[in-house]
Amino acid sequence: MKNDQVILRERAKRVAGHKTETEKMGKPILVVEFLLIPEKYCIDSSFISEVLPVKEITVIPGTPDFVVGVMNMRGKIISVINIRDFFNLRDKGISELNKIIVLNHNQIEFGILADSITGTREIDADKLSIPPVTVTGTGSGYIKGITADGHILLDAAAILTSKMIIVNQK
Amino acid sequence: MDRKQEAFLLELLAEFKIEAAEHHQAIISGLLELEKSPAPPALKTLIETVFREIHSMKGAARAVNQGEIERLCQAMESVFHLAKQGTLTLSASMYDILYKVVDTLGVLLSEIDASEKSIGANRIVQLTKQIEVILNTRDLKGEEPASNTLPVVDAGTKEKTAGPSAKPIPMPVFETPVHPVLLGKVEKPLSPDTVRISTAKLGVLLREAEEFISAKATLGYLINEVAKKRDKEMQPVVKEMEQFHRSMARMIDDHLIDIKTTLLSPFSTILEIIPKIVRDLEKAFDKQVVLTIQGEEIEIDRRILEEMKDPLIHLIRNCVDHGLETPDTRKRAGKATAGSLMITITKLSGLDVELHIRDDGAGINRASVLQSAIKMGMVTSESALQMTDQEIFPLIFRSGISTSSFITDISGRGLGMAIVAEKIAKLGGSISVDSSHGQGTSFNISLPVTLATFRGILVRVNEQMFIIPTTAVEKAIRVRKEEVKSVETKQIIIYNGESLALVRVGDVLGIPERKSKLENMLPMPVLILAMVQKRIAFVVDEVLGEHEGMVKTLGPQLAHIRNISGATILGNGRIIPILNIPELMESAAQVRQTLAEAETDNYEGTREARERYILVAEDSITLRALLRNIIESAGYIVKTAVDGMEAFQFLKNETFDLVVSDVEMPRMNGFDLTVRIRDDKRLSELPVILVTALDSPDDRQRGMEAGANAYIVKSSFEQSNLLEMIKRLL
Repeated sequence: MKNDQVILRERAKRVAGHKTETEKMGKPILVVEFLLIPEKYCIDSSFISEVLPVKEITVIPGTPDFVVGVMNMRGKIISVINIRDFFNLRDKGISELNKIIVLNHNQIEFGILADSITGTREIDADKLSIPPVTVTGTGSGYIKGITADGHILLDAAAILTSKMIIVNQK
Repeated sequence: MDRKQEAFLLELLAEFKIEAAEHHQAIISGLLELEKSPAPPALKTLIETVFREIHSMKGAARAVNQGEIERLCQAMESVFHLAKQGTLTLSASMYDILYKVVDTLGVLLSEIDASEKSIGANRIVQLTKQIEVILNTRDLKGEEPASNTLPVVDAGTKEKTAGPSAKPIPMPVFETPVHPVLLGKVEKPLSPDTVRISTAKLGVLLREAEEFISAKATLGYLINEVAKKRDKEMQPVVKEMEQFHRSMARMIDDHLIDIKTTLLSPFSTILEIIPKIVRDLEKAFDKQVVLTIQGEEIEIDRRILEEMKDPLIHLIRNCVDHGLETPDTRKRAGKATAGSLMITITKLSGLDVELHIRDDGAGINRASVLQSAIKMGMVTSESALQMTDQEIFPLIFRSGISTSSFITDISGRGLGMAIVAEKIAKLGGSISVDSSHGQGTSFNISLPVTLATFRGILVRVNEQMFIIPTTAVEKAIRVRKEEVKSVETKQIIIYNGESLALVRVGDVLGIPERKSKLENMLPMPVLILAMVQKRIAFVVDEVLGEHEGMVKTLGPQLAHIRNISGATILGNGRIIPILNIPELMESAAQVRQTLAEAETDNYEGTREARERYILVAEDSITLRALLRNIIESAGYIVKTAVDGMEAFQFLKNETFDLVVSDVEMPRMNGFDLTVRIRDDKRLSELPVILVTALDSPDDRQRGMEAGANAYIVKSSFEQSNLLEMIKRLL
């Protein structure tokens, strides 16, 4: 039977070990991981202002396909887009699309649809692999790379500053 | 000077700094261009431009007691005045002096607020002396000074005796009369218990107060939901809640009005620019105007003021251009040579303000309004005979009606008044006109003191709901199937004797039609929407009622969506898009057009345009190509000529419906061409539009005398203007 001392020592070791591992990380970034069937994505949390459950979405006629509609965020109207459509990826499988991740950067704000949020974690931006061929095309400019466990890291800054994403039919 | 005046002067000074900086920049660029010694026509325009900039800056400086700036401008002005007359040619050494003056002006401008000035009175005297040298050099060359040479030397000597802070220099002969800017009469309420709050902060308060409107609606919705349950035990609570809802609604409405009244601004904030505008118009039309403004201290919602700026300027331009006669005509009619233009603002009882604009000119020409209305098909020639003044004058607010047969850039295109009336209606106000022959015209505009909360008609199209701004809805009616007529591919209904295009909102927005059999048998709900250009009857699936709320944007990502201007939130939290009516009407026209084009080639409108032949005379290759492109794009057939002589040859041998001609051309200019056309028996009725770089009353006059139908200045050339003029003259 372990006494308290031993337990504490082991715990200290674990914590210390974890720290040294973090120090080894080049550029740790905190990401939110989410599922958008069939892919697993993650996105830098510093661009996320909140995550909401999908409530009623009002369709706006005449908008491009990637614009799902607008929704009421505590009296403020925000638009919601489907990044799979924005990347021109064909629909695969059945999506639940019941979460909205609200992105925010320099006056630009909109929500992106997700099937579910799977967690948050720190990843090393230096240890990403290049995206596989399946996600090239329109989307490739908005992807930073693939994490070790197969999450596609979205380039939030590129998406938020993209001219393509702004709909201006003037 | 008392404090009120001082405060007003400070405000004026702030305006002046902005205006003067623009003039200053324009003078600099003008001088730089001039020094490159451009070709004579361009040179003339440039000198004219610089002259005007200096002149405007001088006038503005005088209004704010900036004597030094005024003096320097005055000196420069005299140089350009002579250059304009051609009695002075600017040389390199002269430019050096002019640049020195301009630099000094720049320093003076930057130091308006500074307590210590780096430029002494001596420097000013020195510079004006140097300019005198320029003027005297010209005399030494042996040229006769023009009859109206400026008294610059005189001004200089006077300055020495009176010191640098001398009163304004005597007005030069060609100067337009100074307007009673009413410096002393403006009362700006500024009591000791006033605090200064930035408008941005007040704007935030207003938005917050407006949010309560949605809260009010939400509460009403929730109470309704509870009441629907018909729970006996809940009934007393529901009663109480309903009572509370009513009193809360009242509190919210009162609060909103009170917040809005903090956002009021005096009319003087937009009237400040009027004297300058009138001054410019006087010059442009060779007229004399005495401007009187009363009641500028009266306050109104600043958002209304901002919206009213353009309509006000338009009305004033109209009064000066169409209303007031030239000094000669006035003299002959036994009137004072200077016309009177009065702007009076009065506060009416309740929450209304009246804006009254009155001139003592010729009055609206009944006959030409009627003629125009008959031409547009608004009235028949028979009914016109029985119409009273009260019925005729309001026609000027209809699109396409103009009282001037000679079209100029400023007014006479007949669209302006319609836009003015629409803008005022949008703000929740109204405009009326009264006129009597030879006595003048007066416009009466009533405006609400604060901007009303947005109201719209909630409609359903298939499964979706939309809001149509109430201001755009003329009438909601029900139309039975058998009342709809088909004309070619279009559907129309007859409403009040007028045939209106009938369009499904769903077709415009791309929402498919899905109706039950029963619905198909019932009369269709139709909203008649009216904008300046036209009225269209729109079919919806259901009219659900009126909604009051706040207009919100669709968020930064959806910058502009065609046919949608924003959205509002209902009591149940649902977002409803607000339809953008001008765009919706435009889109509706396109929907019909594609149908018409697809199914029949014989569409009347296009055939009509296809048959019209237009001759363009222009010596510049670029402009010739540009004009050809613009006119051809509207469906006309264009032939071009390189000068007036060639144009006249073509006119002799072929048949054209209209001529668009440049003024300045080799061999035969536009004026001569126009005269030749008018003198020719076969061609005398041919419409002629002159397009020119010249913009002076003399040239306009010459164009009119030559017999041109319209005159368009290149500097303010707009494609739509030209096409509109062509359409009207054909």
